[in-house]
Amino acid sequence: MEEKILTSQFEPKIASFVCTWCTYTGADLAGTSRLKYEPNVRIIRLPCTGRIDYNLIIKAFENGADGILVSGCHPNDCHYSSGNFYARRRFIVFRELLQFIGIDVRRVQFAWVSAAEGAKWAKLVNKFTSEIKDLGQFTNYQKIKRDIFLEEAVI
Amino acid sequence: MKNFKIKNDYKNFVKGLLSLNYLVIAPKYENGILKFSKIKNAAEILSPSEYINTVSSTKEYFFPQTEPVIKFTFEGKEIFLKDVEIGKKPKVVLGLRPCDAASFSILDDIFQYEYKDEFYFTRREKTIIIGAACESNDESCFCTTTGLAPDSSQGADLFIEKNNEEEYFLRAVTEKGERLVEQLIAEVEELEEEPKKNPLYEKIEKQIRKKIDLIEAKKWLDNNFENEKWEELSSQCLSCGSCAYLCPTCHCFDIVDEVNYNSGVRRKNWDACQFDLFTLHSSGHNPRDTKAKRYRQRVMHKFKYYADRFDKTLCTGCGRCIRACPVNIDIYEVVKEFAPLVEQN
Amino acid sequence: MNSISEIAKKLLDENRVSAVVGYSIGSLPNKTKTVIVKSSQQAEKLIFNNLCVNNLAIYLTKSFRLTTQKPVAVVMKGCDVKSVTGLIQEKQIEREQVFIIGVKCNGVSEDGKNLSPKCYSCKLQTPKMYDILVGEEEEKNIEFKNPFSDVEEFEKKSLDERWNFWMNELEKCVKCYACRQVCPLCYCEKCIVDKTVPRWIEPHTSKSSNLSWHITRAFHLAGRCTGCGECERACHHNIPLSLLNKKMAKVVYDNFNYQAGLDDKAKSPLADFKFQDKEDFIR
Ligand code: SF4
Ligand code: SF4
Ligand code: SF4
Ligand code: SF4
Ligand code: FES
Repeated sequence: MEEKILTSQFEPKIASFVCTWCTYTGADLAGTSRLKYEPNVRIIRLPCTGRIDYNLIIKAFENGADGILVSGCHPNDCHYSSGNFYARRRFIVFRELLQFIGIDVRRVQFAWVSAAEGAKWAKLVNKFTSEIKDLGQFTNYQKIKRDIFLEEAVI
Repeated sequence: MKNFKIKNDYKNFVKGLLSLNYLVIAPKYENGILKFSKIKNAAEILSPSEYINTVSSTKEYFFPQTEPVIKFTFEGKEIFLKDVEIGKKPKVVLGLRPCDAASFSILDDIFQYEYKDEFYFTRREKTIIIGAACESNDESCFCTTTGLAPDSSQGADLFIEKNNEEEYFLRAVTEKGERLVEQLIAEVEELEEEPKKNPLYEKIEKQIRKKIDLIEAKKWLDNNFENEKWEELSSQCLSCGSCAYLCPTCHCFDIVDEVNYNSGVRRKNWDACQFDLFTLHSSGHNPRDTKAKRYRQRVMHKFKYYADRFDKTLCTGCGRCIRACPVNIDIYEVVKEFAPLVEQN
Repeated sequence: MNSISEIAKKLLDENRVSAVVGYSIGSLPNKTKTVIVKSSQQAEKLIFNNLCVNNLAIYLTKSFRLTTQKPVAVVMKGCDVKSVTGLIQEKQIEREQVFIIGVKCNGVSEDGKNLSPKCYSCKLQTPKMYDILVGEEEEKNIEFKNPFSDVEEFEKKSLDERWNFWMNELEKCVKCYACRQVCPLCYCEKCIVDKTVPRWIEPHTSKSSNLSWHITRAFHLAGRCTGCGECERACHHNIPLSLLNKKMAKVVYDNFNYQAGLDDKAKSPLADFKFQDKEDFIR
């Protein structure tokens, strides 16, 4: 079903939801350390992974994301002490739900990236971008989105 | 108006319709439910003896659950409007029971009351309604109360019936219907004489729930806007809205704007009077803030307000709301609470 | 032993409860009617038979507010009591606010012929928690079926098959939200679908907005749904909502060894965590 567009010309859109205390700072470090990484990732900063509602993920898919990367503090490092533990449980369940519905969970990835791990962030983004390039455009989801402006009357 | 015999069988007749390039919509089992759906080939068609009625009504083909009414884009401070196109293909809706066919003559009134709803009427004008007499009924049907019968053709353009020799024939009810049959001359043949009534229809009419006197019901409603009965009748309602969503005559909608950063669309979406959010104002005030008031609205609208305004009942007795209600609120039983049965001989 | 109507009459006469929620004879041969009895004269309407499929725990939340002054009595099967447990767990009601008229149950039917699917995996023919128990018949043995067999079957399908299946099923949804309205655990005063700023889930029907709704419904009930089957029963478009619910129940059971509605002291699994929860999927 999913049409693969040649890897060379396909530039995936990846939305990344990160917590401000660890991963966002880590990504910042990657920048200040002049580490070069793939530009496909758009970072959305949130207070904590505990705040990352699954609806953000769905909305990103609806709006054309091909992959989603969620990242925050390592266990025991959460600024709010346990936000990431709740998030971890939530994602265990959410991944299974997506899989059950027929969404390839390789498109939704989770990571722990600390404020010191700029290099890990750069590597992760590069790896994930190339994985999404291999998976191709997420046409399944993009096809079902009703384009509210172009849509023709159904009947 | 003329009557026509269907020469071969029903399926061939549908084949003829499909070859005329109409979009044919008829009852069909799809994903586990019987629903009015697009028919792609005549083999999918159910003959009028093969079903009682569908789960949902045909209104969605004229007044869909969601309908864009205007689109817009923003550029800087300017807003550009764009009209919405309405499906152009002529349609035939086939196999509607009398209770569904009659819903059009009811809905037509409201959709041109003070303002003509172009979306509804454009579709309506492009559509030919072919009704089919009922060959069975269930415990929920009560069409006789609303003045219909298993073989009434009100609202249809053409009507399928069985004569006393168990052969299907078509009754032309409107000019529009007759013009369609004339295009199908290979499949039909004009009948010289009025066909003899099949006794089946009378038999079914007798099996249907007894007729309630709606004139008396209206008299009660006229005087009982305030009555503790409303609370009692609706106390167990779960506000699920199934009754209104499945009803062929319910027509409330809610207007919603869906907007992106530079474009948007204004939509009409179905609404239902049993919903908690029904007529909730943005101030937080709701004139119908209790279930009892909303249920009163449902019954009053169907059996009083509509009758006051259009001299019609906003209910065809199809029984869908009765079948669907998860807590068994039965509109027939409700109306029977305040009106007697009509004496039948 | 007393009959339900005698118990109800007594409770109302002694002014111990504000109302008795129960079942009465329905207007159709295969349905019973839900009634909220407030005076003892009406108590004789109350019955129990194998058509009493509804889960009356719904009347403890939402806009009913029957429990505000005095407790409310509710007629309940073993499976329905699970919802009460859930509501107590989530602090929606207190145990004292509900007087449970527990009934021994030998299975119920939605159509008067076939046993309701939920009954095949029932281990609670006699309720776990009640204030008074009725029904003295012998417990009949109901054939036990693995509740997750359809989930397991479904998971054998390929990704695309699963996607296409759900797209076909969800396309039927007309967004009436009857599934939400009948669910005793869907008690939010303002549901996310009714929120407009921001608009997470549009009220129109389309494959994508329907999918958002169904992901939301299933996910919000993960670890909370007791499998009463009311949502699927209320859905006139026969969307297999129980399949999604059961999948969620299975994930929660497999990963956190938790079953909903059995322990009113337990924490809901998604409002809880363990240090050793699995994280093999986290990079
Ligand atoms: S109110 Fe009920 S019986 Fe009457 S037309 Fe509507 S769905 Fe049918
Ligand atoms: S179907 Fe029944 S429960 Fe649902 S809104 Fe209508 S009357 Fe209320
Ligand atoms: S009850 Fe069925 S049709 Fe209505 S919103 Fe729920 S799934 Fe959709
Ligand atoms: S989600 Fe459905 S099965 Fe689960 S508790 Fe709610 S109504 Fe019952
Ligand atoms: S603050 Fe980073 S995960 Fe909670």
